[in-house]
Amino acid sequence: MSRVLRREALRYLLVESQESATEEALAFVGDGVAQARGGHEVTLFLVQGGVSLALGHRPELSDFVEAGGRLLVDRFSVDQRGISAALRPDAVPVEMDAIARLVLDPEVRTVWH
Amino acid sequence: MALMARRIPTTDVLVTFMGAPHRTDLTTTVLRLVQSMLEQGGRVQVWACGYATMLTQQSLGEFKPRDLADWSTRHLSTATIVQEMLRAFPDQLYWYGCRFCSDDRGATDHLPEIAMRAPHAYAANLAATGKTVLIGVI
Repeated sequence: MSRVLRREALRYLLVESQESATEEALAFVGDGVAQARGGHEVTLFLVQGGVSLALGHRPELSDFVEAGGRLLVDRFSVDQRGISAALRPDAVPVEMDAIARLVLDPEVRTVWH
Repeated sequence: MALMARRIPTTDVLVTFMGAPHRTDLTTTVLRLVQSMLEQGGRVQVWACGYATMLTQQSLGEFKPRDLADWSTRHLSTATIVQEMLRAFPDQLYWYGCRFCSDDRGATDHLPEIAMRAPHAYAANLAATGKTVLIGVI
């Protein structure tokens, strides 16, 4: 029987790198919301232009965090754009080491957009 | 005599890296990620496809062209960065290039450490890794 059918919690790393709030980027966040609501452990990592999603109070990201998702942002990308003071409070800046650890973890499924 | 197939060393992660090098920050992100995985002891192979095959051309030289806004600082070329990573992590990092994509773009003179592979050989690389991450779009 597959792990999904047994409803074991899976671990996902979703990486959003696209500029701004495109329809695809928001759909990608929506996928994360669905997985988190399904009881899975989901980390959403915003990098490059994707960090702009963490500006202000975008409701899709609020849904994601409320569903239990973990929201990380790339500190390098944030500093490069000078937007650290404008990040939403539930966005956690991290170094690339934290993401490398997740990518290396064989139990974590990684999807890059 | 039949040609022997190249043996692909097993790795933890295969990064399939596509996309134009200078369109976004993608190249910087991939190089940062690969370096972090190596520093944590991970075994990594990179398959460069599409315009990402341009990153390891010898014609790029050791440094990027001078920055007119910062004349005295020299910045390493992507070819140099990849070569230095390969030398720093000889048993952990392997860098492959898609021969078709490379030839299609006229990029035929790569670093000697880069293994150019036919597109169909990608399957062997997939079979030699625990996880595959596709980054970028051709």
